[in-house]
Amino acid sequence: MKNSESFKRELDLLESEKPGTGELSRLQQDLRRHAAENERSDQHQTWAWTRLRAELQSPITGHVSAWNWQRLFLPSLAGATLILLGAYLLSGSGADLKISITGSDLYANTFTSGEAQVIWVTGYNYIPSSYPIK
Amino acid sequence: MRLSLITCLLLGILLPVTGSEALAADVASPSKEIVITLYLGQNTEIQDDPTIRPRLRENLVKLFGYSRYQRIGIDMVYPHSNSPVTARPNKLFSMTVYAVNPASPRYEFELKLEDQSVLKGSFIPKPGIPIIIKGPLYGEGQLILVVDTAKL
Repeated sequence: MKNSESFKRELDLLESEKPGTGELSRLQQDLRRHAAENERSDQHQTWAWTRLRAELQSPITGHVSAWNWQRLFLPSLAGATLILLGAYLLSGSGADLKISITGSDLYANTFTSGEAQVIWVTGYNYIPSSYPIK
Repeated sequence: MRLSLITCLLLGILLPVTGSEALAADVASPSKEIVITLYLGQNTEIQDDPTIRPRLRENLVKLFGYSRYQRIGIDMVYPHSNSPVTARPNKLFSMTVYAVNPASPRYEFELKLEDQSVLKGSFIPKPGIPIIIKGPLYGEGQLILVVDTAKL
């Protein structure tokens, strides 16, 4: 494939379709140099050729190509998600109220009611009204 | 690509460890007043406390169903370090509050009924968000503890 007339013609055609910027421009220059100098393997040239096709076929938004978008955005998104997940877990899973131990024969449950947090404890002994509590 | 993913994974694991401490330090301890009030809920024979906040009263009625709520006792503490402080709203109940980590907004607590441990746990005090604790039945009514937080 390298150094072939058909390759050069196709490269000229592709270059004429869209102006190269950034990564695309570099790839185009690389391909031209490799074609001229015959210094890289077929495998490398095939890889570079595939990249160039992908660059040319992907829609370009501003100066960030789809290739760059995937390369930069997805890892950042994954990292940010992990950071948020880690912070959530380390901050006590968001629970403002935790019950660790209850007294013997007592059971406690927590829930929210309106703006309040409730600890619903059952299993107390009844206290007769004759017992002074004040 | 693979390198940047690994970097992000490492950041995702490491940053929360340092970040949460920084966050805790940011949130930590403006001094707070913890107020523990003991109410008796009953339908008859007690004096209703007219000073109960309407939203709290609404919540108590919804939870316990009684029409009257008398304040039996109140006490407050100012937890500001890891030395425990104990509030005693009446002679039955006591609640000990302390900060395990002074940089954290979370307080540990232990509620006792006549020196017998009822509950141990932790909470993050937030003004305007009371903690309602169901107490034992008393006479024809129900004892209820309300833990409020006020910023100083």
